[in-house]
Amino acid sequence: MRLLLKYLILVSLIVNSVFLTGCWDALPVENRIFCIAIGVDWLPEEPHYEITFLNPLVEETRSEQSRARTIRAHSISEAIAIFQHTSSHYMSFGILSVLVIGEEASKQKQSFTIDDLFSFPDLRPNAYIIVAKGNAKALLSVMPPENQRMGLYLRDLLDRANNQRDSPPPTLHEYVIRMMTPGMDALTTMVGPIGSLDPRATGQKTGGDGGGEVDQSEGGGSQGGQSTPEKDVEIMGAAVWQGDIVVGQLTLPETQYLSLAQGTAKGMLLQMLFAPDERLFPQANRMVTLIEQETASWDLTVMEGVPHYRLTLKVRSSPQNYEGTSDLSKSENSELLEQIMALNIAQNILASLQKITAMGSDPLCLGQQLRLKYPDLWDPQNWGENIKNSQFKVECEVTIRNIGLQILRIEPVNKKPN
Amino acid sequence: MDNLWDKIIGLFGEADPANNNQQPEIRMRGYKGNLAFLRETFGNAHDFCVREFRLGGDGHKVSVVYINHLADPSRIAEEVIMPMASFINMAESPQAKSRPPLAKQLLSSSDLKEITDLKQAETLLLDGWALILIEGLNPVLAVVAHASPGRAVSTAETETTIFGPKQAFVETSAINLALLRQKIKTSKLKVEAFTMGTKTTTKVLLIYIDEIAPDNMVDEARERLSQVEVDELMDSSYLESLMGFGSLSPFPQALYTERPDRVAGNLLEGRVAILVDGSPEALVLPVGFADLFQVAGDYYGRSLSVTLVRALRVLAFFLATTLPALYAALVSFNYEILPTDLTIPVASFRTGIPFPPAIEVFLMLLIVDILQEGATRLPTKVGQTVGVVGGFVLGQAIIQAGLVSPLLLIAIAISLIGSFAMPNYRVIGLVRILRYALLLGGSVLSGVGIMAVWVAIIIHMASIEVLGVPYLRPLAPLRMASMGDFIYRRPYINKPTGSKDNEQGT
Amino acid sequence: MKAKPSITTFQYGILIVGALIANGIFTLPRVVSQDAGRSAWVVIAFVGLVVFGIAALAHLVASHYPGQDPAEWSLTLLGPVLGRLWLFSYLIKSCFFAVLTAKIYAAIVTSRMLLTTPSSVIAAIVLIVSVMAVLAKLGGLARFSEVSVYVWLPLLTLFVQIIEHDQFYLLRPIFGDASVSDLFKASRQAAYSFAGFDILLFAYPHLHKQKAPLRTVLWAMVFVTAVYVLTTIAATTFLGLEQMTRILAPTLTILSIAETSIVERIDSIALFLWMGIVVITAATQLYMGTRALQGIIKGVSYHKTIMTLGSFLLVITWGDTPLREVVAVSAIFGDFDLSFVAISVVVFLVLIYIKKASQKNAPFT
Repeated sequence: MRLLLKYLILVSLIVNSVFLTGCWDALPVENRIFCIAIGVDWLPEEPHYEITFLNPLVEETRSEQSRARTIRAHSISEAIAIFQHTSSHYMSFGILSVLVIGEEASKQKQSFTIDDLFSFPDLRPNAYIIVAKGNAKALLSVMPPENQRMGLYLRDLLDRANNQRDSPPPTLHEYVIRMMTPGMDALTTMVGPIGSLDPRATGQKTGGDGGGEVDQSEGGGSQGGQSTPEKDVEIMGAAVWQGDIVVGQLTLPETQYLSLAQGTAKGMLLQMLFAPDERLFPQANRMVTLIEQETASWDLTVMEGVPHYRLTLKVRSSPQNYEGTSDLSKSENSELLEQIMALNIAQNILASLQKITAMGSDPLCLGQQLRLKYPDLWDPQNWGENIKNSQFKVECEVTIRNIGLQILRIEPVNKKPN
Repeated sequence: MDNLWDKIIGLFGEADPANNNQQPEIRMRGYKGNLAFLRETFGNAHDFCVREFRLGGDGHKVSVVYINHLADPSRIAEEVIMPMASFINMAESPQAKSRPPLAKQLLSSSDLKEITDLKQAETLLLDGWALILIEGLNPVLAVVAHASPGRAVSTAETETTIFGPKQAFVETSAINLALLRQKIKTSKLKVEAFTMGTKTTTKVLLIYIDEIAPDNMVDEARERLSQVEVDELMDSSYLESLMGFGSLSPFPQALYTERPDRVAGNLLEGRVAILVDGSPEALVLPVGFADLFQVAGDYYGRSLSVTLVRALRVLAFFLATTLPALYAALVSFNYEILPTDLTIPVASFRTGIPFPPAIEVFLMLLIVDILQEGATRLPTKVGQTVGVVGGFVLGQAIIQAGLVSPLLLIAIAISLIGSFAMPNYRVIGLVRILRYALLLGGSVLSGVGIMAVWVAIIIHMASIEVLGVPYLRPLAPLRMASMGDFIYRRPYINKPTGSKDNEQGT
Repeated sequence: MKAKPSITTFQYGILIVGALIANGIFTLPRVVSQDAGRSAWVVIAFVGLVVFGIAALAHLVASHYPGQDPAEWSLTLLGPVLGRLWLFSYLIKSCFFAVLTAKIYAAIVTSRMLLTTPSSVIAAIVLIVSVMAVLAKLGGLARFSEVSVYVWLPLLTLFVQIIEHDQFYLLRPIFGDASVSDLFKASRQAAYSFAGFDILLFAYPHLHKQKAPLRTVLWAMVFVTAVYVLTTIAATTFLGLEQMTRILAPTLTILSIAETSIVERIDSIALFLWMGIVVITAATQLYMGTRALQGIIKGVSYHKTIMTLGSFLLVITWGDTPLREVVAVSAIFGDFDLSFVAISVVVFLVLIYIKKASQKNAPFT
């Protein structure tokens, strides 16, 4: 009996001490307010930062709505602190899907923003980081079609872009690696709000060119700051970073050609624009081709202190919508198309490469190649300037695998009356 | 303080030795003295019967003593009284006539003993024997005359199988032994008898196969049985604690089975079995954690399907014990482990629930356990109603009242069903205890707390040795030969085993 | 007193693996990369080789006393005074390491998950559970270690998946980042992740079969070294050298990126499961400390010794220490630990051979 009493006392002590003093970090999930997207904008006047938090409404199970709250502060941490003072819930970043940097904010150093975010241990490192065309607040204020939550809608859009390799968005951790490692820079997807792509849904005009037409110029899409919320978003290209600052932008096709140069374009639907060619393209023609397979190998030589990069590209593709009049089933026509495609790809890749190196950015990790092959010439501190002197040569070989089923135009038969 | 340390240490498998159980002898006192002793011992018990007559009608006095309904009066009359009463003494000399004849030759009973100890005589009386006291003869004769008041051999109630034998043990150890001998027809099957319980003098049989069971294991079992000292032994389940196998541990350290085929199978694997008179369940030792997930029917099915079912049982065990704690931990601490698309619905389900997750889980577990206990004790038809009321009506009402979240109800239901998948009812008791312990850990320190409790559990299991065999075998220490009957059940092959060269306790 | 055989050869190897691997798996890549740069994995492989050599010598020492552990034969070799002094140093070393192991784990947990929970609570829980493991004696500890390793092994496959093939160039050049002195410094920093192999001295007498366990020591050391090298390569290719040297537990960071359809944040799950391995490491150190104390004070009961020692360690564990400081102290202490064991083993071997030689030369009586 005494022994049993001793046991009971011991067990009670343990249990009571645990219940009285434990559960320091217990925070039930309903007492948290989740942040599925964060927008960072920069304003000229103090406090410079305008942080937008996108929080899903959880009170109703079937609700797909989110609430966007905007706070002016000097940093994300300060914005969160201000938010906490006005909320009965604790901000949690465990399901963060997207970090949106506004166009103006991207021209400021973002390492502090990233540092601030990573101080939260529950931060989801697989959240995407993108740059908004215009400001992040407008992008996050879009009410997407089918009543979905904006942050998750953006995430799904970027997942698709990642799978099909057109302007693949980096995750936060990928961005940080590129930001911190000399000889590697980030290329982040640029997304902008537009009107709905389906005119039947809203009765509004579609924004931009609509219908998938490619706008080769910079910008495009609707402007932010309209009085009515936009109905959809669109990938418009990529923001080019040098370290933690954006130094320029690329259009969507330019971004796609860079993916080709990296050798990561498998599965991509490449939008190509050809000059008129009486043999295959009587008028200026656009064509979409599926990149089925590709290999990209780089070679580096240094001549008179200048790095010369040579890219050898082998692409296997299938044209999706050839609208010319030639019969591609004939080998001479398909071989000609292959040559024209190869030339087109090579020229466009070269143009993209020259554009980004002129900005001082190195998303293709060319600096790492120099570091490995010519360690004596490698200067990590000044690579942003030295890369501008780099020379490029692109050799491309295209193989068409599948021309699809070609249906010739059917002319109506003229029937003579009896 | 020393005692406290010692007892805490004792939680980790050190057994306390039991005391000896020896009773003093009572010498014979002659015919009248012996009869007087027996009358005095049994007092006014109405079933204590004494039948007096004279040998051959006019010879020496004979008293036949028996306990009515333990011994069969008709059998006594036929085998004892009639032969002795109708004996005609053909001896020629008066001296020879005056000596009591060799009674053993007169009796047609199949089993006859000469007793020189009155205490033993008392024990045999209580065991259904009839005592024959003959005037002039000092030893008392005892003949077997059991009335067999037990039930007939029937089908197993708690261990049903679709295929294979259906017989179950009964309360009489002699019949149970006979059932075993029907399965294992070898003279190497050894049976050692013990008597336990000063008030109940219960017969206990230790059974093993001499060529297969390791000697040290049998010796240890024998030693532990001989050290049991107790007033009563009503059932085989007493023996596990009495033999010193972790009375404070929640883990069953012996296998209880009512199936002779299962006992026979274990004996052939080198284990020992213990039959207790009055108990329909045999005790099989040593048993490990892996054995708790096996049923008799596993050996009558196809290898792959049995393997899958065993794997499901193990998974069910972990789900049953850990899922409620995991719910409390994830909802309170580590929501980020949940997939993103699940987190928001979880939060919405929890909105408006008045209790913290840990208390919510604890209350639901309590309600479920109370319902389970209630349904078990009630008659079948009423029990089913309780199940329906508890399961559907109460659950629905609790959700609609907003007292618990639907997700928790799902977690508790899965945990409950997982516990029912356990083949051994004693494991269900283990699951209940572990559930609460893991809930405590998970509520306080999230996954670290759950893991700390699991580590403590595994350490406890690792410290247990039953008859020298580690509880965690064949997993630790790893025995590849025995892995063929762990989760995976190896198909039967043509290869006789059965020597002491086998690994101990496999 | 002859030790009772209670562990198999496989468990002997598992004990060595468990005693080593807890401390280094999360923090080692960063600690070594700070000085060695991209050569970190080579340095780790080299240190593994050196430690195997010392372990082999230790095994040789233990094999000369098949029924006794160091608590007994150290007194025979060194004499009662020096022997006790050596055992006392061993006791301090082991206890300190047990506390450090608990504190490293607690600091990692409280910096990544349970932010406001005092790390001393978690360290105390680790120590309490380790005391339970030691109470179960070496046989029970060995069985527990086996089960813990089985649970943890599937995590290794994650590291293999995580290695970024496209970024192997981040590992090159293998030699070029650091000077020889830096590499040497890095190897000394790596020592703490290999401390604990001396459990083989205490476990050897308890082996069922004492044939060919040197092979067991070899595979255990190879396994541990391979795991460290794998995680370092994974961390370097995944995070890059610049980022890796800024993260205190890079292995956990790369696990945090891995996602499945059922769960995310595998680093949290890994941290929970890791507790089993941490307990093995702390428990083996505690076991060695207990035996050392029993060697110093003859006749004291095993159970009371461990309970008293455990209670004392619980008290000195109190207090929160940041992870950075704990890792720094571990690195310094690990260097000392390895040197202490290495020197001791060499001295013991010399003494054994001197003793053998003098016995050979002794005249017959």
